[in-house]
Amino acid sequence: MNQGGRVIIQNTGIRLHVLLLAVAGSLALASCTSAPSAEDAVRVVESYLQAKVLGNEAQVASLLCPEMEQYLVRESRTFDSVTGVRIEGMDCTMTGPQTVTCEGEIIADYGGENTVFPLTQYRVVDVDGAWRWCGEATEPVK
Amino acid sequence: MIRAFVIGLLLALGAVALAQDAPTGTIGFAVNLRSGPNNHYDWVGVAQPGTVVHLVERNRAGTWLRFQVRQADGSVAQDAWVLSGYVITPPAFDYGTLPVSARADGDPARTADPLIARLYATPVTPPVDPAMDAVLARGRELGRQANTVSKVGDSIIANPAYLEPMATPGVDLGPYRFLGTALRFFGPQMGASQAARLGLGSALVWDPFWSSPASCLPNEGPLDCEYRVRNPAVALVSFSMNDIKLLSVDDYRAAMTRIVEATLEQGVIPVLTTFASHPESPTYRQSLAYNAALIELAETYRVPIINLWLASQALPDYGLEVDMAHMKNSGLGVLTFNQGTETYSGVVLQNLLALAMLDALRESLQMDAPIPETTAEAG
Repeated sequence: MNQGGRVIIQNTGIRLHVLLLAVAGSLALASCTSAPSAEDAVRVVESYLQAKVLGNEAQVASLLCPEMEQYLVRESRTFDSVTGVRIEGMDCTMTGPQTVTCEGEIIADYGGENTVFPLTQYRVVDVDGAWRWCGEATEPVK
Repeated sequence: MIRAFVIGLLLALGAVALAQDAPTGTIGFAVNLRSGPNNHYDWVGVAQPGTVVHLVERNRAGTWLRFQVRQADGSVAQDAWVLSGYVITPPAFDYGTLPVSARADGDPARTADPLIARLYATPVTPPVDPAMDAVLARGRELGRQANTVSKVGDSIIANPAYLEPMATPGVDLGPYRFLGTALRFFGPQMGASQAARLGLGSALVWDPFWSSPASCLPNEGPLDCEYRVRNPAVALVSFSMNDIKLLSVDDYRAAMTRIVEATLEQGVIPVLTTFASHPESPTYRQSLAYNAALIELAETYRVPIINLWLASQALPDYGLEVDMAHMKNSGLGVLTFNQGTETYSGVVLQNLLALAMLDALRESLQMDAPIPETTAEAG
């Protein structure tokens, strides 16, 4: 009986340890995967746009959300047909739970003329605690 | 024997009568003459300014005329083809009154180059395939506007001088009056396109970055945006020099195929266009292969194609600017056809051929006919 009681106590102790470990692990995990900041979202979008302008496929790939990965080639070759591609006046802010709105424009040269690509609103998604660029936001442009 | 003689005499008299009735024009400038409606046909002499000629027939587009110089007795002293812009016709004359010749626009037997032969074998404005009827019908189901045309392409298509002036008054068709119905039908809706801009390539029409955020939906590429916003029944599609820098012929063919398939799927008739190229251009051979791929694509999908490459063979510098890429603009107006500018300005020729193809579509598919109303069931 005692033996049995000790066994029960020991089992309970093991369960407590497992429980505590689980709670601690969850807290640690939660701290790691807590929603990334608005600053991070802005940084990701700006980095993405810079990578796109440079045609840096590896960098574009590292910042794309999973659902956009199928468009990696398209996304990294957007400006292949033009030269002198640069971003002017970029100013991005997080304007919604998953929306980063950017002012400014991408400008490229084509045969001595400028062709302009205005920046707009972009969607970001949280992938394992990090923002990823995920296309244009469907919220109406303000 | 006597009967045969009489018939022969009557035929001869008829021919003379026809000859006498043929409309006349005057050669405006010294010009080389050919045995057929393009420069690769045999050279058959030079016509001098002021020569009065009897106009016999034309090619389908009206860019070449066959004429005869007749003696006082009605006999033919010269029979040749000339670029129509070199012929001065009476102010009210209409090339549409001339019969369309059976002589082909090009003769593939006159070259050993298989790519050039392919281009010679394709008429400048081939007849419209009846298969386009089904596309038009599908477009009508989707609410497409039969009189609306979209431009899809790079800087050559995006050029505001291409088609867009059709929307403004003052177009002078000159002797191309037979295209007036098409001008009145399609002209008022002409405008700039979401899917035609500087630097655009055939693989970029799906890329939302190339769309205007002001007009297009989020994540909507330029092509889908254009078709949604303008709601056209016809799209004039041409991509050339940007793609040549970036794509292999196979990649180009694949990208153009995707555009054609998506366009047909949306009930829009895609009109492909070969592009002019200069033999001294470093990309000349590639441009021939691209153009041959376009012709193959048009045949596969039975879609219309304008053979601008072939038509531009007769123009100085092939109708191109010094960059050997863009079509030469005209200083007299890009839709002014009473001065013969289509014989040296690529843009004017480009507009003329587009209008001719639109006219062929309008007529063949009866695009301007009232849509029959569905009969309501009697209650």
